[in-house]
Amino acid sequence: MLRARPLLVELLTALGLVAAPFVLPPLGFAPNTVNQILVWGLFGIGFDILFGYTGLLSFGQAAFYGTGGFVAAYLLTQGVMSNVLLALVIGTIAAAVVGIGVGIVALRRTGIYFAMITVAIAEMFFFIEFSPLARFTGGENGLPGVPAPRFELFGWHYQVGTGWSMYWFLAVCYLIGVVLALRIVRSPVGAIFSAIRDNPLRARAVGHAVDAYKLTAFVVGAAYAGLAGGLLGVLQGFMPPDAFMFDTSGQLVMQTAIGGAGTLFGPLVGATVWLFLRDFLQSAVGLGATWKLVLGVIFVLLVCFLRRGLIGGIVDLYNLVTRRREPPPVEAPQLGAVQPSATVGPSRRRQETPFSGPVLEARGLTKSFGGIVANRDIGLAVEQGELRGIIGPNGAGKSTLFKMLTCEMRPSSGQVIFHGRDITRMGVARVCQLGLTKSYQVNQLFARLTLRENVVIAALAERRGTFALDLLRRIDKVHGLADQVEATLALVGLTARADVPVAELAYGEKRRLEIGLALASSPSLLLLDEPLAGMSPRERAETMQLLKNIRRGRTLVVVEHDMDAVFELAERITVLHEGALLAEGTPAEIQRNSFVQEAYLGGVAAA
Amino acid sequence: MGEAILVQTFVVVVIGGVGSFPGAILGGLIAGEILSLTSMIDPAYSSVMLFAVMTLVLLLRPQGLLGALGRD
Repeated sequence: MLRARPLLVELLTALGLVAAPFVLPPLGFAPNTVNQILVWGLFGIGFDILFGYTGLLSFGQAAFYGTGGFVAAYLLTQGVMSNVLLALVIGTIAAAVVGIGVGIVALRRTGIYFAMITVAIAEMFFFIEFSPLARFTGGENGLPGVPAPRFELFGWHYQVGTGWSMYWFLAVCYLIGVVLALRIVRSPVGAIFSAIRDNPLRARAVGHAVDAYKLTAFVVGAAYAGLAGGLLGVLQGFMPPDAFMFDTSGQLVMQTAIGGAGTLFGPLVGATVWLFLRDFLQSAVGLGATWKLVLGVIFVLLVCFLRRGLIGGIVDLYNLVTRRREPPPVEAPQLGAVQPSATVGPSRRRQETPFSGPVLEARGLTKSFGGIVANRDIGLAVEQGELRGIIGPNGAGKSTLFKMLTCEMRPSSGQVIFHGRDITRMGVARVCQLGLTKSYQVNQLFARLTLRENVVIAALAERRGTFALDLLRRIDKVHGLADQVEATLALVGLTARADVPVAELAYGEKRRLEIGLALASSPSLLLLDEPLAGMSPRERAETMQLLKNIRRGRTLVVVEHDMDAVFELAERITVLHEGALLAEGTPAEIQRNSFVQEAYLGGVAAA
Repeated sequence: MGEAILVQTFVVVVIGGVGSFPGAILGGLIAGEILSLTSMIDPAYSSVMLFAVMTLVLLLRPQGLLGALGRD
């Protein structure tokens, strides 16, 4: 993500596009087939950003393909304008605008429900285009007579024709599409897209406006579809009504799966396989319409045995062949007592207004689920720089309290005040931007990214705010990002392991990364939900040292079952019991407290 | 045959609620009524209505009419 060789992929793409007219015809590709492959490939780039990078499976891309295509074709065939390029751009913009509307509706749901809404909306588009709008779209006849572009420059002019002449025009469009897409996936926004694919909950918790980014990906996908639709009309000289059909969306999804999602070039490869098989099986083998039977078998085999598509398979093979012997696994160094911990202090971007009084205050927090009261009237005040421990038996309501404090969950009644500000009704991302975040009891990491990329995602939120549309900015141009990432990695002692994928980390390392993600957003108040849970004695010792290191300059609240740890670390301890506040005081006071002994420590501490 | 019936079956299940047998029956009845009643007025709109109703159900009651909460 951070270290892509500049322009290498772009250059290879351009070379491939130049070579194609010389290499492909002997293999049996007609120029028209190659042109169709390019249109599908371009259509697929947008879909891949949506599906492969952001993890949103849409079955309704045909809606935008058709919209872009028909807007451009209508403008060109009804004498509104004669400039093909301008019509294509307007078609693309129209598709993007429609994408905003559809996205706002469809993205309110996730997973299969999101996919179903996109299907439904695309089908509605098809029927509306087919009947009520037939006057504009030609109904079942489509719009014939779409002209090919003609370029004029200083008296020199060139009329794009059919066949290879059209190929060069489409190839330039495709190349522009690839270059833009590469910029997008290498931008901060692209990084956040993959974070959303891997773990939307955590992407929001580190301070990104996940819904706005999802909509961005959706609109990018729609715009690519609109451009491809317009090019389809130009290519065929005719805008067919079936561009809007479910078949189109389905074929796109299948082609992307064949080629490999999350690769940008997967859809192009998939379209090549698809269209080659169609031509080859239909005419050369003479299967006629039954060619789809063979296609179906091939598709099932590919999806079963090459789960990451053809490109994924090739990459795996390449890694297998060229992999030099694995470097010996680097042990993460022991965390020493002396660490340059002050480097990732509370944010420089946030101007903390001088404020006296508690950093965090809870007033009368109550949460009930149906008839069960998880938290009852909890009041809490945490002072600047304090390390507060929260203990209580299982089911005492500690996690519920934490969720309310970070605004993951709305309290039934009561208030949360952070730095004198009522945050009770704010969203998680907003609260994180204000400087309050937490690490989770169960690791919430971005599983398909490397350790460094994980930290980058969290640091980006602090650098860029909840939402920014720097789609074309290179991620390494984000001011101060690299320093912040390195400092965070050093703080949690994982610098040596920075480029290892998260899936390959040991449990204790994942646990430290979990804390690192919270730290990277430079919180002034950090809530830690059972940071020591499930650790081996050695991992526990390291994490204890880490907690001592990070507490400098920060206010910490720690929920923990490990009594020894809490009594060693905390300055004050709050005891919860059956959803209510039982006691609060210094460790010594809590140990002496008879209520606590009775309810919780079972008198052991008194012995 | 083909994807028309496939997509409609999906719509039926989603309207009724994924994971609920009575929901599938209810969804089927509703979908059938929508298709027939709309066809009486203008057949071209029957599918549009069906999908519009499904979208509405998903937005207002994401788990479907008879689906249990918490399934996703």
